[in-house]
Amino acid sequence: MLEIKNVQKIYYPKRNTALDGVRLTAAPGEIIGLFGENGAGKTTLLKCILNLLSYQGEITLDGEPVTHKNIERISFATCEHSFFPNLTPNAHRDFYKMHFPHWREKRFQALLEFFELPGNRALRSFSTGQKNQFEVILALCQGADYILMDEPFAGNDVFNREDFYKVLLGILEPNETILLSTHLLEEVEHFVSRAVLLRTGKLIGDVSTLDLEEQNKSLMDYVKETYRYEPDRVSRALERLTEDEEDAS
Amino acid sequence: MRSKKITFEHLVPLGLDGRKTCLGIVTAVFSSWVFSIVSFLGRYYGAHSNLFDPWNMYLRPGVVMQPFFQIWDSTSFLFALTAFCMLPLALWHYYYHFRDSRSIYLMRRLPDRWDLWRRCLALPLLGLTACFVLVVLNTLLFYAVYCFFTPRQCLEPGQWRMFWENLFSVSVGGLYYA
Repeated sequence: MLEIKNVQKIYYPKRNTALDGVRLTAAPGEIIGLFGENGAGKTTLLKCILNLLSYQGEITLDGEPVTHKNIERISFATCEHSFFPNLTPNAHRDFYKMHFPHWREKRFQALLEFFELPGNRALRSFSTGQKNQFEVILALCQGADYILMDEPFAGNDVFNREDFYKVLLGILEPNETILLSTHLLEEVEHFVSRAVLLRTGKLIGDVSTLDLEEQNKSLMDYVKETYRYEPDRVSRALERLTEDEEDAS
Repeated sequence: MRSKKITFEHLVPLGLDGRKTCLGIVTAVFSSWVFSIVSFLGRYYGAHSNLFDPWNMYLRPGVVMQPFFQIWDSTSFLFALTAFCMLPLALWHYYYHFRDSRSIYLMRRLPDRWDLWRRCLALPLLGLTACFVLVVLNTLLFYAVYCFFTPRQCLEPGQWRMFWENLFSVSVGGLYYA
């Protein structure tokens, strides 16, 4: 169980509060979608979980703080890419095998084959889509129980993303938990089991997709409702703009 | 299985050529060593020659040998430069993890928390240590040469003490001006 208790993150020197008392629990087997506008704190939260950023509060993994002793149980795929561009996929495999004792070799080979990624070509020669695929493959094959993904499909085409969701659902084992930060609400609606909403560093929504189905609501409806989205916002802005132009003429 | 064998590739960031980096450091240290020896021997030979009358090669009456510190001074210049270059090398190794990707995220979440620092600092620290050890050994060697080959009557007493006093004042002065 991954527990995030009252986590606060302030970026100095401007004193920007990126996370403000976030509380969240991720149980084994859950697929959690982490949603929110740009700057809501999604990436910061994932980086705090991994101890890549300092924070106030407590983050525990089965009751233990996240340290180098249990960090192998968490993997991370980011749109910024955390692989080495000069290395080949096979060299990455060797490095991961050396550091992560639960490396999933069979899954790695199967995914490389499925996405038709060459094992012996340096990653810098890959397309953006291929790089994203490989980043996610590494996160899935590390042998972690908790897989954190931060906008992992930014730059991939829609078919590619569809393939990924299907593959993910097919290969994930019951103990594997996914925390997926993305803006692609409608696409992941049928993939995630729970949606968590962040706004200006605060957790403002946490709902299971099953509950949404029972309420006959889509994930987008829920997000708009929680964010108090005003549907006529755009038309009002356009009206104001055209009024200004008419006055000027 | 965790590998126990440490190779050059384990001492540089992943994707960099460990052998090339190591060869570069060895070349720089070796060049500094050669420069130091050649420079000392040249300066010593000059100071030693000044003790003698150039025409009949007799010792000049009352002549005193140039102090050891003055002859030693600046013979370790290339060592200092090489040692200083280890800092940018270490910084480059760290910065490498931000180039074209953020591999720093992977390195910082490894169960082996020392791997990142080993890859960034091992070779620069080895280079720095090699420079320091060779400067010490060279200094001892040069002092032995200085004492052995300089005519006893031309040696001013307290050379070793003067050496440390001057070294200290230069270091403190350097820090003050810095």
